[in-house]
Amino acid sequence: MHKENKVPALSGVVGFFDDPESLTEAAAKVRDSNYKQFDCFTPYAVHGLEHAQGLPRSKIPYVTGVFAFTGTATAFAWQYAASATWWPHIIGGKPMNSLPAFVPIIFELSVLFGGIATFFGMLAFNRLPNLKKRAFDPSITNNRFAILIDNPNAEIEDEEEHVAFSPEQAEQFLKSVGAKDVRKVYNEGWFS
Amino acid sequence: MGNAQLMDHKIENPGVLKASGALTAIFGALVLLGVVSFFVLFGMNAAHAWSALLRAHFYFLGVSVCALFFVVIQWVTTSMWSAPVRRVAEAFTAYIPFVLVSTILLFFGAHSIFEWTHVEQAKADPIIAGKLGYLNMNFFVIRTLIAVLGWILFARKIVGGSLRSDTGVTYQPIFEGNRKFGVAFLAFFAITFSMSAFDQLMSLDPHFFSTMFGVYTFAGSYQTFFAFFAIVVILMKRMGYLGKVVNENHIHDIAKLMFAFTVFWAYTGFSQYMLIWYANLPEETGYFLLRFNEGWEPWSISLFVGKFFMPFFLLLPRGNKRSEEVVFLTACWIIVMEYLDLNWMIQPQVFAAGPKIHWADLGVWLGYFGVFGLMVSRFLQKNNVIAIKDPYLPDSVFHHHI
Repeated sequence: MHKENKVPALSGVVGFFDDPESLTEAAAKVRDSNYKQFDCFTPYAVHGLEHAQGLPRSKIPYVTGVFAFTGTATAFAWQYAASATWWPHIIGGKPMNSLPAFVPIIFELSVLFGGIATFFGMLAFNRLPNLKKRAFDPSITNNRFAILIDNPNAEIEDEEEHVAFSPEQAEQFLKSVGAKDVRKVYNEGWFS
Repeated sequence: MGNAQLMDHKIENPGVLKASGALTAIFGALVLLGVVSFFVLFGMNAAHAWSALLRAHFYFLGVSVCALFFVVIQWVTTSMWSAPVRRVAEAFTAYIPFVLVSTILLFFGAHSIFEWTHVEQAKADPIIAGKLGYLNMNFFVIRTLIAVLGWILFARKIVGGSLRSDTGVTYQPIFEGNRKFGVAFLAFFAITFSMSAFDQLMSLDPHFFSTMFGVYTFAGSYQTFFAFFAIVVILMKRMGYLGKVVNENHIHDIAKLMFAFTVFWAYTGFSQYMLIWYANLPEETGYFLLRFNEGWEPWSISLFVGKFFMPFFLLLPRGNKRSEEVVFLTACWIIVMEYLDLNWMIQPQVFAAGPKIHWADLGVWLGYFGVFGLMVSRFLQKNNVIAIKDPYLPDSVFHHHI
């Protein structure tokens, strides 16, 4: 690899599968292998795949919970401040601090904060939006399933820090776990 | 698990429930206790006895008819997840014929607890007099019987279809029939269940009206149905009948629904309260004024805390919904809270001063519980405890949650 030749860096090795079951079985074998950085690509959600990949549980529910309760507190504080201290008016003979009347807005703001936080939390955990990475093959949005084993050296500039990684061996390994088709994926270009 | 493996997987049929005579004896003893309790109360105060009967009657009416509602939802939505546990809910509908007996008993007690049955006094009160066209004994008996007979017929048709599928006959016509009748039942249920809540609970205070009342009662009953459902499924899993087909994903699903209807109960209860509080109309506020005075205030608050806050936070974490122990205990708690909720709806209208607590109140409820237990266990002793020929069964056994 010579930088002056502008050969794009190898980002990994991909293996293609025809059905979700063989993908799931292969993902479990990759998980138990020495290849620690890999990801699966499927045209739709495949149940059980996250166990096969060994992914931990999502932390998004905690984001939702924390922001929902922040919404609860905000809505109460805001309404209490507005109707009991800033503009105290008697409306319908109700007390200034009328908790039952506050509850619908408390509920709505909890949902709003929780919902928005879930959306942005999802984007943050998925590192989206990401304009740098390209889809490496259109078939993974259509009818094929893929496992991409990352090149651990792709992001490391200094060659002395590179760890041992043989793309040929990775290709061989993917074939051994049932990939129908394997090839290298480079960092640049559409559908390279 | 590969597709081919899934297809080949044979689900072993656990057969029917093999209960010992002790179970029947216990339920039978509870029925006896219920009868004795009723007469103990009747000796003291007829209105007290009939209000205890109404509470227990409506409690199990709600649980069994909501069980049918749940079963129908599974057919209409062609639900996969519930295939191994649907038969347990179908067993609960075996109680529905007794609702007819209990309703007829209630007709005899109507004069003791329903103010509008006292026609002469009712005519003197202009508000009640205006409602006598609906609130009169003849119409009450006719429409209540139509509702109960309808439930019995729908249960026979829909649960009967499910039982017939066990024999191995062609599944498709059963499925299509149950879907068609199921949709009809959903409409029938919406009207008749609200009507029963209006007639049997809301009319205890004939001045009061709330369009939310039927939904509120349904929410509590459906929440309680899921509590009974979770308990029976967990017990039968522990006894080994459902051990191979029910896993923590099914418990998780039931707990999610129980959680959802805990929230829904609070939502309907608060909607009813908040709008009445805000509008402040005299004929509506009386209902809540009564329940925030005369010793009922702690009861009202403990309902809100006990029937919403506690189950809500107990069932909120994912791990708790997948733990049989937590789901079991929460379900037991909900069963107690529904009793308190129905008592809160009934007793303030019957007794002028504060809650009345007597051991025989619980005794009458236990009597109904005994009947419920007898009829449900008899159903399970006669029929397979899982719908063994359900085409969704293999998929459901291995279904999986993210």
